[in-house]
Amino acid sequence: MARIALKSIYHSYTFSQKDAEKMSIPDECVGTEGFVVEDLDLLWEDGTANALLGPSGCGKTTILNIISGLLRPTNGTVLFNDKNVTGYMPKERHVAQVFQFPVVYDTMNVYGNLEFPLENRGVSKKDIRRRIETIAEMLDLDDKLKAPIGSLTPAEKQKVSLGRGIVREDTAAILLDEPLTVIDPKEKWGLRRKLREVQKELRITMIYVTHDQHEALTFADHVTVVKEGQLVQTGSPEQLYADPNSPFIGYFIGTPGMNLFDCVLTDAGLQSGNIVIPISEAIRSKLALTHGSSFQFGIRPEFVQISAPRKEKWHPFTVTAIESLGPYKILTLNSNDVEIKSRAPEDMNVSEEDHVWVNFPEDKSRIFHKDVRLV
Amino acid sequence: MKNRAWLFVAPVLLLVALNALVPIMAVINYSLHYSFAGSAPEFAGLNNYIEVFTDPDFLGALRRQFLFSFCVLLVQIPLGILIAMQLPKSGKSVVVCLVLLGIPLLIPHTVVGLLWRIMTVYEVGIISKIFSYVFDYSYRVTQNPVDAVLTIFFLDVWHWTPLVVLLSYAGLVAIPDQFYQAAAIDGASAWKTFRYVTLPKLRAVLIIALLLRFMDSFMIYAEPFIISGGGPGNWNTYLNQYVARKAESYELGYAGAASIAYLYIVVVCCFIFYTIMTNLGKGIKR
Amino acid sequence: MGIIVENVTRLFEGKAALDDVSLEIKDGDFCTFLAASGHGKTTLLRVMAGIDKPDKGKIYYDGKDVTNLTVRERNIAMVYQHFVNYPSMTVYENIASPLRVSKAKLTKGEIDKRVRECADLLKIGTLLGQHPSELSGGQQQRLAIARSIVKETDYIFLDEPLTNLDYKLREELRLELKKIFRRRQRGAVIFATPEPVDALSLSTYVGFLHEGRLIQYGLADDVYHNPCSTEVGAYFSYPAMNIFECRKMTRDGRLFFKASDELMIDVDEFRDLLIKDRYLLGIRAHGLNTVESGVYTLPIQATVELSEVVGSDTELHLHHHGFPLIALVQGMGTYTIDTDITVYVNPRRFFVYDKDDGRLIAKTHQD
Repeated sequence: MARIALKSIYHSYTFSQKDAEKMSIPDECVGTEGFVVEDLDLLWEDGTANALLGPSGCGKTTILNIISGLLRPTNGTVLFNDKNVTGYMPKERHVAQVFQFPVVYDTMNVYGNLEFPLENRGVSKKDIRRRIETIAEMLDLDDKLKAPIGSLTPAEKQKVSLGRGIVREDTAAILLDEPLTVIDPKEKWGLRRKLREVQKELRITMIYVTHDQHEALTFADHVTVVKEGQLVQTGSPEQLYADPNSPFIGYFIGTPGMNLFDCVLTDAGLQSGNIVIPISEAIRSKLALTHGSSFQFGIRPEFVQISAPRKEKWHPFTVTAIESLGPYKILTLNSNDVEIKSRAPEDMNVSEEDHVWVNFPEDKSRIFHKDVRLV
Repeated sequence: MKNRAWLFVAPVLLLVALNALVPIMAVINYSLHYSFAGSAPEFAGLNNYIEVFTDPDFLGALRRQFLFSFCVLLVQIPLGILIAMQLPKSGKSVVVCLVLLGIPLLIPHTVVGLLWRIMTVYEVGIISKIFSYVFDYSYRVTQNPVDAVLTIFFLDVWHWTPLVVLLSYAGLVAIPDQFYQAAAIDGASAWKTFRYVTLPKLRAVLIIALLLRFMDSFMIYAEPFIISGGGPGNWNTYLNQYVARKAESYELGYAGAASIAYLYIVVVCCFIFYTIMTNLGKGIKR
Repeated sequence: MGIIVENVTRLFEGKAALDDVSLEIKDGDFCTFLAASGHGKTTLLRVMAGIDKPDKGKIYYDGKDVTNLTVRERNIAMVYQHFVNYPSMTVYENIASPLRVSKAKLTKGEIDKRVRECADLLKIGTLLGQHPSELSGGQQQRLAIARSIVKETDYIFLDEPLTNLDYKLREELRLELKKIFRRRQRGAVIFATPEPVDALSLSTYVGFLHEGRLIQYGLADDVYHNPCSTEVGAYFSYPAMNIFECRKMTRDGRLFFKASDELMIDVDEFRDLLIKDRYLLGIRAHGLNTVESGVYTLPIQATVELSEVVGSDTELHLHHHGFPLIALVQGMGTYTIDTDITVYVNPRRFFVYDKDDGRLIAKTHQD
C-alpha cells in the first residue's frame, strides 16, 4: 500500500538524462519540443481509486511507466510513501500492472498463474493456497482454478492478471493500462464492477489509465486529466463535470461534451452572431474588470432549455439533427453558425428543420477566457 | 462459382499428383518386385521389406541416422535459441547480424562438404593443422571414425544452426514486451522468465524449426559422401547414402522397399514430433 | 430496389455462423446489425457483400440474383474495423483510387472535384498530401470512409468502423456518419456494431443477431420499444435491461405480478394472455429513479451496491430482495455503498417475457 507522488517530472525520449542535467531543467526546456511529459506534479493517496485520463498520445503511458519503474524520468522524483524510489527497478517497487491485453502464462492453469508471484518470493505452500483461495473467490475465479488458461475468456484472463497483482500482500499499487480494450462491450461492465469491488475491499491504490472518460469516471473517485504531457485538471468526477477549469475539460468530460462558442462582451450581454445572452451585473463586472472582450461561452447539453412554443427572451434555433439514445435524444441546434447540442426527453415531439426556442440558465453557464474559466 | 474454382485449381492438383504421387507409386511398385538390372521383374510380395528390416547394414545406417539427427537437434535447437536471444532487438546492427548469420544457409550442400573436406585434409587442412599443432592430435577424417563422425556433426551444426537462430529470432521479436514486464513485476528469475514466457511463446516457431531440421538432417547425403565417402567403413554412412548405394547397384526392388520404409519413418517421426510439441505446455502445471 | 437475403446459412467449422437468415433492405435504409462479437454480424456483412459465399440460400441485389457474383462484380464498398488504406499512397490518391479503377471513365477534373468534395465532407480536406501513417486513428478511419463513398456505389458495408476509435472521436464521427449518409441519393448503408447506442442513433432498421440467428429485424425505434425476446431486451439497452422473475397473484380482484412484497405490477389488462404461473419482467434502467416524480410512482427499498458515473448520468447498481437492479439517474449524484434508499419505479415501463422461451408477451407501456 502506498501513497504515490510525482515531483516535477519531465520526460523526453530524445534527450538523455545527461543532456537534461546540462540544460538545467526546468528553466530551459519548458515548451521545448521532444518532451512528452512536462513539469508534472501529481499525488495519489494511499488506498484510493484513481484514473489518469487523456486523449491518445497525451503521455499517459509514459507516466505509467515512470510510476512502475520501467522508465526513468529525465528529471524529477518519484516518491512512494515519501521514500524516493526514482532509481528503483520495477521489481523493487512492488507495483503490479494490468495491460491492455491479457498477459498470462500460457503453460500454467489459473492456480499456477496466481501462485507464480508468491512462489517466486518464497511464500510457503500453505500460505499460497490460503491466499489464492481468498483472491480467487473475490474475483469469482474459484471454480476455474484448475482450468487451463487457454480456456478462459479475455475478461477472465484479465481477472487472472489482476489476481497476480493482488495476490501479493506487499503490492504497493496496481496500474491498469486501458485494461478493457480487448473485452467485449457487454462483458466490460462486469469487469469494471469487479475492479471497483476489489479496490473497495482491499483498499489498494489503483491507477487506471484510459482515454475513455466513461471508464475513468466510472472507476475512479479521483480523476487526473492530462493533455500533451501536462496536467489539465484533477478532482472528483463531480468536480470535473460541474466545474471544468478549461474548455478542454468541459468538452472532454460528459457525453456529449459541453457546448462551446466564441462570443464578445457588448452592452447587451455576451454576443455571438445574432444571439445575445444577457448577463447579470455581478458577472459583467468580473468579465469587464479583468479581461478583454472575447470569451468562450460554455454550457452542458443537459442544461440547455428548449421549448417548441415561442418564449420571450429565448433564442431561436433550428434543429439540424436528432440522435435517439434510448432514454433521451440529443438534438443538434443551429443558429447562424452557432451550433449547440441539447438533451431532450425521449418522448419530446420534435423533428429535423423544426424551429425551437432555447435558453441558457445563468447558473449553469461557464465563461472562459483564453482557455481559463472565469465564471 | 464453386465448380469454376475447381477448374482453376485442377492443373495445380494434377501437377502435385504427377510430382508426388507418380514417383511414389512407381517406387512402391518396384518395392514389391524382385528387380535387377536387365532381368524381368518378378513379384516379390513383402519379401523386399522383410529383407530390408533384417539387413544389419540397413539397421546400422538407420541407427546411425537416428543418433545423428538426435545429436544435431539436441545441439542446434538450444544453441539457436541461445544465439537468437543474444542478438540485438533493434537498431542497425540487427541487419548486419542477421546477414552474417544467414551466410552459411546460402552455401549449397556440396560446397559445404567440399569446404570442410579441404579444411580437414590430413596435415594440410586448417582444422587438421590446428589439431596437430595445438593438441598434438593427428586428425584423420578418412582413417579415424570418431574424427569423421565429429566432422559431419560440426559441419551440420555450423551449416544449419543459423536457420534455427533466424526462426527463433523472428519468434522472439514478436513477443510483446508486456510479458517480460509482467514477469519482472512477478519477481520471476531469468530462468523462470525463459521457461514460462519465452519458451511457450516460441512454441509455434520451434515446431517449425524442429520439423525442418529433423527432416533435413534425416536426409543428409552430400556432405558425408564428399568428406569421406561415407567411411571409414560404414561409420559415416547414413540412410540416404545407403539406399542410394543399393539403387546404384541396381537392386531396385530392395532400394524401393528401403525408400518407402525411409519415407514412412520420416513421416511418422514428424507426426510424433508435431503432436508432442503442439500438446506440450497445454499440459497443466499441477 | 434493395437487398434481399433469402434463407442464408453459412457454416464455419461445421457450426452455423449464420443460421437461416432472411431479410430485406430497401434503398435509402440505414440498416444496422447489432450483436455481441461472435454472433454472426461480420459474417452476415461479408456474405451480403459477396466476400464469402453462403452455404445455403440466395442474395438478391435489386431483384437480381447475385449469390454467385464476386465482390468485384458487385457495386459495393466496405469499411472495416481496422483502418484499411493504401499505405504508399497519399490521402488524395487513396480517395481517388476507387474512381481510377472504376468502369466509368472519369476525366482528371471530375476525379479531382469528387476527391476534394469527399475529403471536405469527412474533414480531411487539409490532409490530402499526407500519407496514411501520418494520420491519427480517427483521420485514418475518415479516409477509409471517404474512399467508400467517393464512388457512387449502391451499397456500403461498414463493419464496426467506430470500434477502434477513442470515445470522443467515436461520438463525433457517429453524428457525422448520420449526416454524411443522409446526403446519399441511392442505395443503402449496412452497418455492423456491438454497441446498442450506435444502432439506436444511426439506423432506420435494426437487426439483432444471436448465435447466428436473426432474432428480430425491424424499424430501429420499433425494435427498441418492442424487444421480442429477453436476449434482444437485455442487449439492446444501455445499461442492460433489468430482468427478473415474478409470480402471478390476485389482489382486490385484479391480476398482479409479484417480484417482491413491494414490487407489484398491475397486469390486469393482459389477464387473458397470462396463462402460466411465473413470468419474467423486464424494465430498462431509466424506468427507475431516485426521486418520486410524475411517472415514477411505485416506491421500493433497495441497497446501493455501486454507483457509477456514465457520461452525464449516474448508473446505480442496487440490490432489492435478492435480485439486482440498475437505475439510470440523470446528473451526478453521490451514493454511499451499502446504504438503503428508496427507488421509484415507473410501472408503465415493464416488458413481460415468457419464462421458458423468453418471448415478449406484453408490455405495460402507454405509447
